[in-house]
Amino acid sequence: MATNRMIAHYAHETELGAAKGILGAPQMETESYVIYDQPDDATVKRLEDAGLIVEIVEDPALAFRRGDVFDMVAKTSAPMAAGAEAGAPMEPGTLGEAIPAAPAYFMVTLSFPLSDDLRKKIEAFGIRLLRFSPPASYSARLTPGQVTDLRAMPEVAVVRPYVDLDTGTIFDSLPMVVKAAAPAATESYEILPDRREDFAEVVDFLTARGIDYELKGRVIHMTVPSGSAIPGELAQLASPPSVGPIEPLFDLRLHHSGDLPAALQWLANEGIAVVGSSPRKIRVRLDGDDGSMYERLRQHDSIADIDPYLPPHVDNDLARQSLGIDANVGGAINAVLRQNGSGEIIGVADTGIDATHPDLAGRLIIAIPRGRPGNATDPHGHGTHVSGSIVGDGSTGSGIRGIAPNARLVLQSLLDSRNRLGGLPLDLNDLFDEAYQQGVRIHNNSWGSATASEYVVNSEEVDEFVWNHPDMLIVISAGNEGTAAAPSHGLTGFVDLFSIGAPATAKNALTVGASRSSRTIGGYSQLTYGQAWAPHFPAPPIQGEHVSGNPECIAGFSSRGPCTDNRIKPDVVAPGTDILSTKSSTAPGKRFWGLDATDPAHYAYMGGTSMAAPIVAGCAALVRQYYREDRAHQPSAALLKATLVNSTRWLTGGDAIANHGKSPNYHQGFGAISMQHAIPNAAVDFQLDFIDGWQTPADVFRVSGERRRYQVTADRAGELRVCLSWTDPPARAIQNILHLTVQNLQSAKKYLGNEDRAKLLNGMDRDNNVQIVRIANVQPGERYMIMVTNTSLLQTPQPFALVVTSPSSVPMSRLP
Amino acid sequence: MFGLRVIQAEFGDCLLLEYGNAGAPRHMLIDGGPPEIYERHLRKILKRIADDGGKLDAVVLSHVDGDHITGLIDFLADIRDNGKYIDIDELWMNSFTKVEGEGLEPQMQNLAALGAGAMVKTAEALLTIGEGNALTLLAHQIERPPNEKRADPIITVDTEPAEISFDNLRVRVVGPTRANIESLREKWEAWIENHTNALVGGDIYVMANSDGSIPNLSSIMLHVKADGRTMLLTGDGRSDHLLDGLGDAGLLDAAGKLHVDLLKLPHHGSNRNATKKFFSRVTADIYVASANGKDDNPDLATLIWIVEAADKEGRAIQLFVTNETPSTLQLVEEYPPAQYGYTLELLPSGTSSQLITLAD
Repeated sequence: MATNRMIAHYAHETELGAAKGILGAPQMETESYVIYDQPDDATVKRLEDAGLIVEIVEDPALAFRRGDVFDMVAKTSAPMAAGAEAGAPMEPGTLGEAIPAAPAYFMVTLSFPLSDDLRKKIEAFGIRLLRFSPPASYSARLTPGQVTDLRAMPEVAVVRPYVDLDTGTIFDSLPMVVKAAAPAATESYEILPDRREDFAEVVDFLTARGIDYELKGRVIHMTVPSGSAIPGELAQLASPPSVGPIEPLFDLRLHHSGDLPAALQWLANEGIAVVGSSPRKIRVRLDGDDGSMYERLRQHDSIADIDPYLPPHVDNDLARQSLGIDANVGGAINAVLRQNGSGEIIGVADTGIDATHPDLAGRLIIAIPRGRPGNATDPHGHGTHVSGSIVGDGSTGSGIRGIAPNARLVLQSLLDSRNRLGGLPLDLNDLFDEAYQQGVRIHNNSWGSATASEYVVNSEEVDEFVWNHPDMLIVISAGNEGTAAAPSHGLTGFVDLFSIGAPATAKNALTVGASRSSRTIGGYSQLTYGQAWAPHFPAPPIQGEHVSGNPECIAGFSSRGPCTDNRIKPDVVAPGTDILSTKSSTAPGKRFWGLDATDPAHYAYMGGTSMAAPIVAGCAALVRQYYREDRAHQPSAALLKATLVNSTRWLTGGDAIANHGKSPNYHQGFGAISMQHAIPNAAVDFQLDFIDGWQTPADVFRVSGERRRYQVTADRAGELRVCLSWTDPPARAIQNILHLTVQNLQSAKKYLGNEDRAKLLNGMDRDNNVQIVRIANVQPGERYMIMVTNTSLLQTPQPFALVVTSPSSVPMSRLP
Repeated sequence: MFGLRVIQAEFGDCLLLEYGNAGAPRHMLIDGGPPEIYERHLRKILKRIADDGGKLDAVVLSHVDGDHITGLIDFLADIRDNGKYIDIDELWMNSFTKVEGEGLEPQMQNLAALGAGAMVKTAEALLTIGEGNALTLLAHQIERPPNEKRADPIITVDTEPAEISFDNLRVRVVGPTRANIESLREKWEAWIENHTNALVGGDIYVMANSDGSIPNLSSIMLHVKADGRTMLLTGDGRSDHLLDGLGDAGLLDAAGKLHVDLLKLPHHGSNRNATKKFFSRVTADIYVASANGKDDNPDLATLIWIVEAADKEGRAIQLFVTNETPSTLQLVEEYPPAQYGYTLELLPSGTSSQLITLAD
């Protein structure tokens, strides 16, 4: 009989003993938790009084029988028994749909966490679980016999086919998805006028000739008979636009790379054009599709997800360029930290770079032209600005320097001749790998797509690269989609949630939002949000607040979390308004927020999360230099991320704490980077201990339920800060669930990772691969246990990174 | 004195009103033309005014469109970045948001954002729609917020019911009317409904300009007079809207007609913005077309309507066109000036501007 279950997490054997004393032998026992059927409330209270952390987990089978978990199944066309209707009573494991005779993909829902024993039992049937889909389901390729095997297991609640709705995309609601293609005997073209003012010429040309066209934003789509002379004639216009075939592109993510050859063969048989493929992704072009091909793709067994591929482009008409770093921030950091980025190589994938700029000329290792043949210059100005924020060395004598002025730069120029980011490869793994081969270990990405907090294939490629290259920190700007135009998750006059871009939704990246700089002169600093971007900030209070000036506040445009899988993003914020940095000599002044009053030829103001990300990338270089030089350690990306998140200062501006005043929230993530709390320095007194599992086999999880415990003892008053971060296997939502627990060993009080987070379903955080605990006012002599555990591992081994800063002089020790 | 300095703006508009005392004339700038016009022509003209101790009483953007606004953006950015070499007393413009109704623009942008694809994450990339917002931002930066001295955030015939004085100049707003704005709003809403797909990934202005020229229709149109002489400055407005506004402003006579000394042709002389009948109701001695043949402007039909209407009434007129175009060549061939009683004057090639003086 299915019932809800209780997971009781213990930190000490005494707590385990108490649980067994009260409830007897558990249904499942691991090194960090035990599982029982849900007891009554009084018993739960007794367990909690004994120090256990109790989680009640609803049995998926119960939820399934109620019809509120897999209601999507009832909506599909998959043949089903009458009993499978939503809401109808249903015994677990007996979904009566027709089972394909051949192996196919299924969703397997478990009633228990995926323990090591359970995984071994499942693997004994020759089954490999592919990816985790919270709260309790896994995809897998199964034969009919294996379906039967699984359904016979008491730990398995439901086995059902992977259906087209699982394959669906957030963009389904947009008609553009399948409308782009032309009927047979015609050809569709995309026309991109060079300049805004050339649009009328093109449209008049098409109108005069009776050509069907559709305006799609910056581009015009037209359909002409095959072999038409129109495309050629367009090229003869006074201001010839760029003309190319329309590409209704889609990214297909496969369940398994082993399916690639068969999937490619199937696509070839179907006559679907394949643009390119990487091991688990195929980019296809659906020429001439009336929508039916798209549906067949959705129903194809080996395809796990379909995303429309949104071609990258820059907004060349509007994006005004500036570069630079907030002088105050840069000044403060350089005043207290010894590190300057020396020995670090930072990658920047951006428009291009003005390699003649005196502040950048000596910093550049290589500028790789990816968008324009042989040309990595920066007529746009964005890349030069971003680069200056990181490595600008003030060679002009201005005193304006980046955060890591001794670091060196690998610049990947993405700007193409159409003013888009056409230099991006099919698979982002290739972008990062190119930089990695050049020695880059910190990579800045101040670009993205507006995907409303959704995790897309691009996000997964970021996660995949870091999973395969654990020492590559990828920094991504959160996006500038913040708007208070019509808040649906908050109050009037405050910025709404769910606007993180992609790939910024990646789990293993460090996602950076923008806070307001303290600047009160220059750029837009004197304007209010209502003046500068009236449509987005129509109501007070933000309407009347200055773009810059109050560093306790978030930039109005900064994209807000959470991600659609409940993960906290952005991770951190850094100043991103009225940032002063290097100006590309070939970018016109009007594209910037303003030019530097003293040296307008070399410096300009700019704002955006684009400007915040490189500041954090520069900070990461300083942290990395610290680990290498002072700790003789090559840090993982997870450790750099943990160290930076551990440093944060909680912003207190009204908009920074709207909806939720405690850390972390969805406006500022874990808060604003504060380098004086990141690594030891002259200004703030603390000890930094760290665990970086990718280099120490002892700190890697291989079995579900394992724990690692450490102890730190304060010898003076101060603050204890702990941050856990791990690089999670690539897939939407956390795949390997780890937890952070800190306990005062004298008072026995426990602190759970992210226990003050904005979304709190129960005490243990199952959504985030970054978790913090902070305890102010630690007293001399107090001992703290820091424990990292895991509830469920899909892929092993799973290393983790832990940073502990404390008022201590004795190094953190390991407990058994 | 009173005159109109017509600046070489190629396919756009860039006009400078001159009035006041001939020894120390006053100035009002209307539109800045398309890209490069500011650098090539307008800047040195404004410099000279400043060097002579002058300023701009007002800068007017007729409407948000690249061939009118770009030069103003370049001008304001230049002032912002390189110093305020000339004073500007006020800036007039009707922003998209104000005209089309708050809430509409974010709605469109939300659609646009969904399909926008990867882009550089500057704040402008999504938050600023079009050059209208760019000019607004610059206006705030140089501390001349749009319409600050006007009665209402939107300049209309209704909200500016009285003449506005600058020295001897009297300015009467004759377009758009509030009713025009209301109908435009409805038009926008319908347009958005029909273009939701296109808006995904979209640049609103570009699409609107290419598809029915909706923003054009909200052009600020002015009737100006000084020293007993009059001009009509019409932006890219529509002739029926202009007649509405002239009527509301009480400038039409009992027969519904108006005669001015100078008429700046709407929309570069395009035949899509005016009708033959319009040119018999609104007449002038001098007709100015700022055009260079792009989009067939000025349209031959427009020029013929004007010439025929004047010929019929026996009025001698002057046509002033900023560039020789196929249509002007054809007009002269088909309607010989001597025979039809008009003169055609062109802005001499290689010159930046020409002053058409109505009163010394």
